[in-house]
Amino acid sequence: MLCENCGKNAATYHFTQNINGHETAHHLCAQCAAKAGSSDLSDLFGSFFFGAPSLRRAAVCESCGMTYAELSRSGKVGCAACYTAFAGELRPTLQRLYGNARHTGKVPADASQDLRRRRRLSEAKRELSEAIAAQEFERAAALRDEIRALDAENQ
Amino acid sequence: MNKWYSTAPKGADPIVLSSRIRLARNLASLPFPGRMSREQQTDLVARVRECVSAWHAESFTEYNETTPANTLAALAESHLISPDFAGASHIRAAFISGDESVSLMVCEEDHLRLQLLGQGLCLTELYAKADRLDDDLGGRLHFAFDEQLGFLTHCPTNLGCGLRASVMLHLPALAQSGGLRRISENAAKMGIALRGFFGEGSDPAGALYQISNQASLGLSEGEILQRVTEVVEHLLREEMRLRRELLRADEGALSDRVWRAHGLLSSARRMSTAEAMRLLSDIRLGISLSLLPEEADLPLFGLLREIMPAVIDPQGKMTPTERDTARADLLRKTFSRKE
Ligand SMILES: [Zn+2]
Ligand SMILES: [Zn+2]
Repeated sequence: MLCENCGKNAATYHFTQNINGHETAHHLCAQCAAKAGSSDLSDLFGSFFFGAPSLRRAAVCESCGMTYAELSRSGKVGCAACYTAFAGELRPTLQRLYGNARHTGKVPADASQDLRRRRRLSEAKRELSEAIAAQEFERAAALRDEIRALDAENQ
Repeated sequence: MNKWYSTAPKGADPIVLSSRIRLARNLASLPFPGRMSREQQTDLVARVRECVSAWHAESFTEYNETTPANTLAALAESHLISPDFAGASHIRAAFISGDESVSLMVCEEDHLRLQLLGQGLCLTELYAKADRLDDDLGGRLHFAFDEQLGFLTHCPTNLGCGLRASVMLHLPALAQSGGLRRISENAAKMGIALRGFFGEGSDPAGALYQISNQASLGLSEGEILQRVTEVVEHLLREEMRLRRELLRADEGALSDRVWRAHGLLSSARRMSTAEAMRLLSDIRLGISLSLLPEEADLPLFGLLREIMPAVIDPQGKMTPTERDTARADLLRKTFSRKE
């Protein structure tokens, strides 16, 4: 059996991890087991990939050829498509970095019309509740019209 | 050509030295630089060169893998390119504007790293310009973007806006008082990092600090700039309050300290980078408290750049002692003229 972390050496350490009552068996080589036991565990990425419950050591990004083993070593992705290919593996890391946050900043100049409309819609809704709270009724009315128009376009 | 740092405007802010905006961008159609072939890297550099050549408002100089190592080291010391980029060996390029306020690295950790620098607190103006250049590049190159994660980057810590906004501050009184720890702990809770600009540790050279946002996913660009600005303004108030306190406590001692710094800078024959930074810091403090005449003011950021080892010795041929002598000569000329 090969080590599930590096996928290269023979696994000589076998243990079971219990995460919220969900038990997972792990099989590691001597080096990776030593690494896991060291203080490196606090390392931002290593620890997360290491403890991720769904270890798919065979997983590969079809676009750039990056493997899960490489990703867990460096903590950095190989291409934009890696974020989709390893979405499950990256989730705990992203969760720790950002919680449940979504991107609320700039949308690129060449983004689809749809995306721009959806983004403007959520902005306009936020502005509307601000306008109502501030009792700016004229601005609120204008925003309501804009939201209605955007909704219609999105149909 | 005049550099962005070469003249300090009259009455310039005594505490804020410079602001910096950095954007990380990647093309959707290519693997990230670490997994690109040489052909892909060469091709990307050529495509970006074409974009930059269309920016007629400024002229850009290209530095690449054929540039001498010492030139790249000097650019890194001037913070125009990253040390990693300077030391790499793969196909890459940096396009730097004549006044050095705009730099665009191609094939660093991300496909593109756009950086804008300016004097004083000017994050909003710098971002507005970065935004325009970004729109132009994005329209031609098509960036990797995800509705939820924002701009996709090599390292997950740069996701979202791909924006790092930094401000460089001179905080000698705060550093001396030991009050920075509490402020930096509070700033960290807002996602803002405060660190020594030259060297880590509790006593960074020249008492220069950099304030910047840590993450850029979940906040808009405007919110990020606002948060950094809020922390900067808090630091400014505290620093000014402590400076006045120092003055009240013992004006004579403070005056002696800044005039000694002036004496050394205008007469020493050999000077290390660290000593020069400490003395320049004292000079700047002295001017802000009117202990030294305003005429003695100098664009500190420009001088800091000029005293760096690879800038003093672009050919990389001097011994450390020769560099210390050249540095002392430069400073002596600057300061004895200003009497
Ligand atoms: Zn292993
Ligand atoms: Zn990939």
